[in-house]
Amino acid sequence: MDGSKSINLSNIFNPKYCMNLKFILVLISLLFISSGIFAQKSSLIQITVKDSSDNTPLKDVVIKIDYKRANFSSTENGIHTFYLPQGEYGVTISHLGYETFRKRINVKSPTVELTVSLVNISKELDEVIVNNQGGNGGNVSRQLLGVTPLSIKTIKKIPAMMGETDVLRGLQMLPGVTSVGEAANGVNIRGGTTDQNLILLDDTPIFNPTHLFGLFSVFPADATAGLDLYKGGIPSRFGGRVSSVIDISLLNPSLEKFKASGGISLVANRLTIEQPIIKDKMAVLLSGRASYNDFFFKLGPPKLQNIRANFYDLVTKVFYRMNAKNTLTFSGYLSGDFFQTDLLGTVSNVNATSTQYAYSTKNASLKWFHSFNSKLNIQTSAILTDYQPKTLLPELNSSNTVNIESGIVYKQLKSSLSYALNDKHHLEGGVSSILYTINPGRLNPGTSNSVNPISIPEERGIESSIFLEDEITLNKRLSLSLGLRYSNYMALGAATVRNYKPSQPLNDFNVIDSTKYKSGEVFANYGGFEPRVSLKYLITDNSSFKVGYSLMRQYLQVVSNTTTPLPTSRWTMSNNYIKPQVSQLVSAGYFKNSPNNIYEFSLEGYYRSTENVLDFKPGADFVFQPFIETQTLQGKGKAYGLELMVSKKKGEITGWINYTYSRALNQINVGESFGEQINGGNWYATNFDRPHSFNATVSISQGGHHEFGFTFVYNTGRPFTVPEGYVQYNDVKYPYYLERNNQRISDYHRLDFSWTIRNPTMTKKRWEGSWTFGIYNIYARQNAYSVYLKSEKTLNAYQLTIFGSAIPSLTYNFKFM
Amino acid sequence: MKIINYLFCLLFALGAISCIDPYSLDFSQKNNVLVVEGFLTDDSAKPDTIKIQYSNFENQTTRIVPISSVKASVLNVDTNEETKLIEQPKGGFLPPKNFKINAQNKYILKFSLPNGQNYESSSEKIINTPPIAKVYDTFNAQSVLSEDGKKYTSANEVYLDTQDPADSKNYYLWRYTHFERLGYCTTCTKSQYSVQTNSCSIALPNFNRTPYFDYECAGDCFSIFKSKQVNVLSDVASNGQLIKGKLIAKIPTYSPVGCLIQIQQISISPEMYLYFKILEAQTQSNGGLADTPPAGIVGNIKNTTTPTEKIVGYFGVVSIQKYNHWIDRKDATSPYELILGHTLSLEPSTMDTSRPPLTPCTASSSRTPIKPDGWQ
Repeated sequence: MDGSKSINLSNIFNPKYCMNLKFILVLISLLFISSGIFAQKSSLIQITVKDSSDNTPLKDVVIKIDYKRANFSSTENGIHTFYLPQGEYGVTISHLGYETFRKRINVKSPTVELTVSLVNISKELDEVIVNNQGGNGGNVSRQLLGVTPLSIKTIKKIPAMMGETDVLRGLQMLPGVTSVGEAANGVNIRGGTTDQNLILLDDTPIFNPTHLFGLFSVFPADATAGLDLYKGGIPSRFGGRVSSVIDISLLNPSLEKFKASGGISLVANRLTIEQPIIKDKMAVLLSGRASYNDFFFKLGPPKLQNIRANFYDLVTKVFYRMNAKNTLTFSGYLSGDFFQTDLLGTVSNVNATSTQYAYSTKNASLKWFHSFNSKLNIQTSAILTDYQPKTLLPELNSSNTVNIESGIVYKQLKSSLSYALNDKHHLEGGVSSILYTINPGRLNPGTSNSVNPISIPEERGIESSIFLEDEITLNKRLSLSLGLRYSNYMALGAATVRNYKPSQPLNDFNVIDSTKYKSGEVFANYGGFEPRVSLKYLITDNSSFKVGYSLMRQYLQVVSNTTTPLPTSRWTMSNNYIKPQVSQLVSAGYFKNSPNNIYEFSLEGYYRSTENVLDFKPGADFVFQPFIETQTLQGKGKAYGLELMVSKKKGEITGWINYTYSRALNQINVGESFGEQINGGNWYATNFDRPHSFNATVSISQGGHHEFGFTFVYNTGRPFTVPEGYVQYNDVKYPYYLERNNQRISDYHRLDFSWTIRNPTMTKKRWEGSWTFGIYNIYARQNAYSVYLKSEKTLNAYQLTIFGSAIPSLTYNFKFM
Repeated sequence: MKIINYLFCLLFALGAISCIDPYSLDFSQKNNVLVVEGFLTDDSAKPDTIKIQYSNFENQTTRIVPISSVKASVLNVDTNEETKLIEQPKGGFLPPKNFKINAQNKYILKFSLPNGQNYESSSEKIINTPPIAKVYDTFNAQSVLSEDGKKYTSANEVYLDTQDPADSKNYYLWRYTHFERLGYCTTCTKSQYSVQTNSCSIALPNFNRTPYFDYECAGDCFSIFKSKQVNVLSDVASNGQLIKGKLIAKIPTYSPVGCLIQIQQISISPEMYLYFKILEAQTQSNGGLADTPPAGIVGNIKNTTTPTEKIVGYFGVVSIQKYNHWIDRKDATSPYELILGHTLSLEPSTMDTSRPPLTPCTASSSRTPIKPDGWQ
């Protein structure tokens, strides 16, 4: 190497190296200037490009110098030779199927040799994980269909509204997942209502998944590892809800070293720490998030001045590896919300100057995992959830606040055994028992002398289940998952159950008498088998066809006749009159991966039929109502759809696009009277029936320091009810409605953008900061949330938009490793 | 720099969140719906007019179509005694002068139309109404926020207290009539008032100033405003207690001088309460994030000839408690709402001292020359 200097590119920006280099450069420059013989010289550049995994020389690479394509004087065995005037340049080396290499180089010696190893993107870890459970080619080889794992890394790549990474908004980028709009208190999955989704956070159920009435989800992104969405084949270990399971897992704390991360956004501050307590044995994770700036609303336009909105969530997880065969995990979750807005109506029949909502969730789970041997293990968990919503009603000319408290206490014990019998059978079986205690509503007058205390009797019930599942590999191509679950529900006293006149509407006027049940006495009992079957046929190594059938039973439901349930909406158990919801889902899908697993394609179709879906009588009022059956109607539901998805999982540009055609319809025909039918007893579109849905998300990573994210969302507008005309009654014009959900609001579409600058100083330190600038709704589309009629001097129609403009945000995130 | 960025973001976001815009409902339906208004009341001196008429909707406009030759009566279900109602102009009916409700008996409304269709209401019975204990008002400069969220209107908010009886389930309906003294009785658009014709008959073809003139009233004149909002309450949370601070009305600040509100408190049946709750949900308590689905406002009247017909309205048999309250507006401040809906524009004085003339106060559903009970 006479006269030449080999530059190791990994060192070129080493600060130490740079300092020396700069010092020499300055010295040489000074020498040249002082001698007056400064002139520009050319250097010979030799770049060797290899595959990082096997060092094979790569031909036909594209080398760009300062964004212009270099002209090689020769190209042999992956060595590309050309000349450059001395100076500093940006070099970009790219090759199809490989990650692009970018560096700045300083050319000053006559010959510069570079050796660059490009990473084959088919061999790198997936950047986007939306379909990758079960190893390479997960979507094709996974046994169940309608299952989507979503890593938190992927969710964080999706541009976030106001800078808050949001699990539920991430979910809505997947096919089959929609909501009623931006202020939806939950998601609708394959035509199911929000309460038909079982949302689990480290095994503990979440009854209210959003903060501030749908604006942000309650799952702290920094403490979340990821989630599995089961919308088709639901394993037999899950039960209790008929539509889907969203299984969110919290991060396991690092057993090796202290780590911290956090961030500041316009909405909230976050901090997460992981601290080993006994190295390699025990560690604790603590994560908190709190919003702090609702006083800004006072500065806003009149419509916003009354808004108060604050929330917090706190997570802890303790992981203890007792020995090689036993681990113990404790997860704790605490969240709280307080908000006041005129947009949510009020409680009838209590005089108040405003309505405030305060709700809290306290969840805890303790999990013991014991491995008998490499084939057999048992996992036993004790779970507690305590959800306490409260409505606060400040009185006129008084410092007193009347409040209505309600709540759900959920206690569960479960144990499951997993046994890998041989190569052909993997068995899993278990038992579970849940005790529900629901406080439907307790009115506390405080010091008020015009309001009486009211207490609606508690509802109690036990849901027990037993399940067995066998994953059978029939041959190399064909495999089967056979699952059977049996669930039983017992409604427990104390309770008063009314007896109504036969064949008459269930209302206060048709009561014959009532039966009283003592505490602990069973007054209603339901149960049945829940078969879950799925068959997979591997057509080739990269493509498969699957069919599945699932039956699910649901004994607990939210009682709400509003567009989306309020956080304070009442939950109720099945009883003598409210029958459990039973849903059957048939689905089929074709899955194909590109040979290098960079691209995945899937096509899934489903049909669901649900018995005993809940709807409500016109004018139904659930507050202070002990006999909820007088307000409800039950009927049938059907939902069907076709979901198409293509994702690119690796490389600098990753993302996915999907299109869904789906329908969700209900039929309510309980009796012949006007109040016992909806739309004359015919099928009608549900509030969340959105036939066409298209989502696209793209993430562009530029050399690890810059990352750009784009998402585009399109949904058919959801149905709303247009009157048949108007009538004049008592000198007031009223809309005259006959059919529900007979028109649609305008289509929803939105484009979001985010730009993340990681580690702006480009130096390797333990503290690494990043800035994310985002714009939600970049082209300021005024998407309608609802259309309604309001009686003012005349009757006027209005459209309510939640985010009517582009919303920029700036977030600072940090990691300390 | 960071702070500036944050402020910028914040202001941007605040302006953006939650906007409400007028929406043009695109529908071309037309309908003709039978509407029944009014109650049979225990106020024999001033009974409610029961109206049986069609509400017609066509070309985006609603109009009342009175039906003539309707035969209507109330039937005492317990005594089987049928009392014919006396037809009034424009589809109205009144009970005979000597008619008195028996509070122990149930009544139904029966009527038949000239087209041969027969109708009947469900049976209804009086539920005693407790008296209004107290009425008071307070001025609020930011009482009503316009639906677009841009402007506040000031009003005197009127509240009442009433003692709920402990021994029964009670449901209340409140309605009110609000009177304002009116100084200007006639507005002539692009014309002047003629005393000879008693109308705006002096045409002004080249009128390029304010396109109207307001003329003073010749004597007392009072504007009548009726409650347009449904106001109901169940005593589920306050049985046997003093119901305190129930908001009855928001009276716009039309002037610095006082005005009168006549309040009626009515005990209604649970079915009637549910009917008015549905009415309320259609047009008043909606527009939020969690609206209830709209429902048909079909009441307790059935067509016995063609049972599928849906009739709007609820026939109730009720006892009424009244209370007149004077709003002195001593605490009210400007700006004032425009009672005529526009700023005053007077015909300029000329040499002709007979002009501008005073104009009469013609009695109608929205104004009266007779001083109302309770006027101060």
